[in-house]
Amino acid sequence: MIHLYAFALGLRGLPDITGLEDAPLASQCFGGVTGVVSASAGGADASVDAARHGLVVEALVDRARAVLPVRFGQRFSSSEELAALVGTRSSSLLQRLEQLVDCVEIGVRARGPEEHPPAADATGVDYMRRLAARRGVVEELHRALRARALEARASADSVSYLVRRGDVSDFAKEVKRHIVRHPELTIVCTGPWAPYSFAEAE
Amino acid sequence: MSYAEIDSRLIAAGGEPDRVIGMPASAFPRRVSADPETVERGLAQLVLTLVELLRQLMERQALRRMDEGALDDDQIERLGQTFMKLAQRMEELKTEFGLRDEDLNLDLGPLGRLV
Repeated sequence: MIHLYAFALGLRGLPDITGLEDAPLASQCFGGVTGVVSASAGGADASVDAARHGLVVEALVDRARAVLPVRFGQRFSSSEELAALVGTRSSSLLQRLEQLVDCVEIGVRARGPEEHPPAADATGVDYMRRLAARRGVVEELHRALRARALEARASADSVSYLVRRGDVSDFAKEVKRHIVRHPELTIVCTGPWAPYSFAEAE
Repeated sequence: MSYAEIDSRLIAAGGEPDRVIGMPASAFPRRVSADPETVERGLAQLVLTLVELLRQLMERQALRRMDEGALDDDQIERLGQTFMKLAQRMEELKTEFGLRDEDLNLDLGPLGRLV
């Protein structure tokens, strides 16, 4: 079987690491798009394989103009099967890769202060107003960060931002400003990562 | 690129980061203990974690509807009372089972925590 890690644009050589089950990495060209793959027998510890998949994808980010990570678990019986799938989607893959050139993903999780049990005599309206105020300061942070990003994807209490590499430093400064201004918030900002949250192609 | 380098990709953190990210020692999901003496607490922890997730999702949905002006004052009062009672009941259940806020979570490894 062939395990697919990512598609890349302008890949400058494969990273010096091995893939799943320590198999060597290989590249397969589909027009202007390069697929990075390795042979895989399967059946190994899925959590170890998932971590290895992530390591390969992250290593590719430093060696390509753009990387489109593939969801862990995409396996093909042969190079021909992979080529047949990519063939039908090559233009949308190329289009999305061009949109991701020099971009990375930054993850931001933010939460209001720990809730305390509501007072017994509080009204329902008071309670809802307090909830809204708590959410307001978190939204202020995300509004400021959204203005510094190309795209954003929200899930639960975290938001993933697509940021140009050159803008990561300013983005980080904006996060740090909010940490200082709102010490009551819990904020965790990580990255830069491969743009997993923005990898969809038509 | 190594596992350690991926772990170190923390750009900034403030407040109580342990509330939203898992510690390396607990990177894999915890199991409910099958020990007869602790199984009840373990199951309560799992159930209350899911209730807490649903409570937070419902509160967010209600706040969104408030922002959109889709709720009148009576509806806001009723929703607020409902969420308040749910929060109070959760506190009672946490006390009953000896659970803390940080226990009502599931570590999803590299994805962070459930709530």
